[in-house]
Amino acid sequence: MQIIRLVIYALLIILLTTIHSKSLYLGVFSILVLLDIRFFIKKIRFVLASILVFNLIVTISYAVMTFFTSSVDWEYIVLINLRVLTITYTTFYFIGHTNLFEALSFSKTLSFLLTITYSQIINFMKVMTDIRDAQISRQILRSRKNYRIFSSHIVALFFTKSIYNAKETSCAMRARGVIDD
Amino acid sequence: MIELKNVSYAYNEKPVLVDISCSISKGERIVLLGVNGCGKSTLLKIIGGLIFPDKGTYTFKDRVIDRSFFKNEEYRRSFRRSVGVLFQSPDVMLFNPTVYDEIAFSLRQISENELLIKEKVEHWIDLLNIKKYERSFPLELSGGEKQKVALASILVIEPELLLLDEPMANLDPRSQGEIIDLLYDLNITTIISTHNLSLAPELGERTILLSEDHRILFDGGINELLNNEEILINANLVHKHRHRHKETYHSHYHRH
Amino acid sequence: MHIPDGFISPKVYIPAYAISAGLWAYSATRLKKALSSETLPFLSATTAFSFVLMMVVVPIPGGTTAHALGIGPLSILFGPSMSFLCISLVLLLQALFFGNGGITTLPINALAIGFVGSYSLYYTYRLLIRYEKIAIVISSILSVLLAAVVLAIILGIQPIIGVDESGKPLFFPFGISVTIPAMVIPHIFVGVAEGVLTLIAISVIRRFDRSRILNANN
Repeated sequence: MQIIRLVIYALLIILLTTIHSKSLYLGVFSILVLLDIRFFIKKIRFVLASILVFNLIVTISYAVMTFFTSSVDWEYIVLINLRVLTITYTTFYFIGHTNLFEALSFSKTLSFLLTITYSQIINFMKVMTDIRDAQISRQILRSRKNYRIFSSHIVALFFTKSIYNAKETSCAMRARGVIDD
Repeated sequence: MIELKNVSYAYNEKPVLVDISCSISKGERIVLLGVNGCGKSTLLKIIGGLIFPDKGTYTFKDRVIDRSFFKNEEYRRSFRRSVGVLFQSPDVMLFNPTVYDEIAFSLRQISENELLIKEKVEHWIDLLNIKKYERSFPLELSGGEKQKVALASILVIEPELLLLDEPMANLDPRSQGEIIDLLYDLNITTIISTHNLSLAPELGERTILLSEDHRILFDGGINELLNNEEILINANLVHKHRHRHKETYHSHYHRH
Repeated sequence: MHIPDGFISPKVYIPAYAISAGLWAYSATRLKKALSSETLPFLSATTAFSFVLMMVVVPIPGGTTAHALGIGPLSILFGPSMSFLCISLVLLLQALFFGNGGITTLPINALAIGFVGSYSLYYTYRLLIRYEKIAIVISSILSVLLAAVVLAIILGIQPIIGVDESGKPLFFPFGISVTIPAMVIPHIFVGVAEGVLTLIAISVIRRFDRSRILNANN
C-alpha cells in the first residue's frame, strides 16, 4: 500500500514538472486541500515556511532584472510560484499519509540507520530547546566568546547523548536479534 | 515580586497552561506540584522569561515581562542576573571545559576582577563539597555532581529568584539530602517543581498544585494539601495498589 | 542550498535519480559490511549531527544567511561512500519531515553535496593529513565550494534545458553567469564555518571513540 502511494506520488510529481499549466497546478492543489481540509492551515504554514525565502529571492530578482531589460513576465512568475507551491504541498500531503520507514523497509540496514538517526534527531531537537533556553538564561553579556563556548557545548552534549542513546538502542536491537554480531 | 494574571500557553495547539493566576512575594519558597505533563516546566520557563504567555500577563518586580521587555538591553541584563534557572537536565546548562570555569562563567560576565571571582567560586566549590572535581570536565561527572555544579553556577551571582525544575529527579538519596540542606540555608525566593510528595514538605512552605488539565488546583500551605486526600487523588499524585501491612495484603490510596 | 521543488527540469532530476540510485545501491552494500553494533551508534550519531549542522545558519556579510553542509565528520571518520549515503538520508529527512529542500532536488543535492562534497573532502584531507587540523579546514572549504559550483551549474543550465517553444525558461530563470557567483561566494564563509565545526566535532567524537574504531583510513 505504501509503495502504491509512493508510485502515485512520483507520477504526480513528474506530471507537475512536465505539464506547465496554471489550471493543472490550481486543480491539483485544490483537490489536495479539499481531501485534507482539517489540516490545511497547519500544512500551508509549513509549506510557506519551506518555500518562502528562496521563492521571494528568485521572484524579486527576476522581476527587477526583467524590469530593467524588457518587461516583467508576470505569467512566468505566477506559473513558477504556483508550481513550487503545488509540488511542495503535494509532498507534505503524501508524507502525512505514508509511513516512510515502512516504505524504505526493503533494506533492513538502511531502515535501522534511518530509524535510529531519526530518533536521534527528534530527541536532539527536544534537547535543543532546553539548551537554547539554558544559554539564554545564563547569558548576561552578549559576546562572540560566548557564541564559541555555546557552539562547542552543543556539539559535546549532542555527541554525549547521541552516542549513549544509540549504544543503548543497538544493545536493545542485539537483545532482540535484530543485529547479530 | 511575581504576579501572574490569567496566563495561558499552548504548544502545537495543545493547551499546556490554562488561566494561571497567582502572586509570589519576596522570600517565599514555593513548591510547584503536579504530575508529568501538567505544565510545571512551562510555567517555570515563563517565569524565567524564556517563553511568553499566549494570553494573560506576567509581571516581575512591577514590570511586565514580554518580548518587548527583552529588547531593552539594560532590562535584559538585569533580569538575567536576577533570575536563575536550573533545568531538569543539568547537561543542558554545563558549557565550560572545567567545573571552575563553569561556576566562574556568569561572574566573568559581570566582573573582570579575577581575584574576586576566584574567591566566590572557591566559596561555592567548598560549600558544595566538589573540590576534587574543580578541574574536571563537567559533562563527565555523575548526575548529582552535575546538579551541584549547575546550582553553584547560578547561585554564585546571587540571584533574587531561583527556579528549579525537578532538581531531585535524577539524584541518589545522598545527593538529594545535600541539595535539600543547601536550599534550606538560602535566603532567596525559590520556586521548585516536583512530583515527589514525600520531598515536597522539605522544599517549601507553600504549594501551587497544577492539575492534569493544566489549571491551578490548589494554592496554599503544603501541609494543608498533604492532608487533603481528595485533591491529591484528583491531581493524580497518590496511587492505590495492593501492598502488605504485616501479614495482610490490602489496597488503599497512599504515597511513598 | 535549500532549493524547493519546481525549479529543476525532469530532464535533469530524472537522470540524476538514476545516477544517484546506482551510487546509493553501491554504498548500501558497503554499509551493510561496515555496520555492526559498535559502529552503528557512531554512524547514526554522526549522521544526526550532519542533520544538525545543515540546520546551522551561517551569517553572510550582506545580511543573508546560508547553511552548513555537515559532510566533514562523516567523510573523514567513515569514508566518502558511507558519507554519501548518510548525507542522502539526511537530505531525505530534511526534505520530507522538516521542509528543507525538495524531492526533485534531492538527487541533485545528494550528488553535489553527498557525492562531490564527500569525495573531494576525503581525498583532500588524505593528501594533507600530515597537518591534520589544516587538512580538515582546507578540505572542508574545498568540498563546500565544489558542491556549490556543481549546484550552481545545475541550476544555471535550467534556462537552456527547460524552455518552452519560444525559448522562455520554464524552471529556474537565471543562467550560470548569475548562479555561480551567487552561490559560490557566500559558500566561502560556509566552508570556513564547516571547517571549524568539523574540527570541534571530530575532537569530541574521538573522545568517545577510545578504541579508535572510527578511522576512514582503515
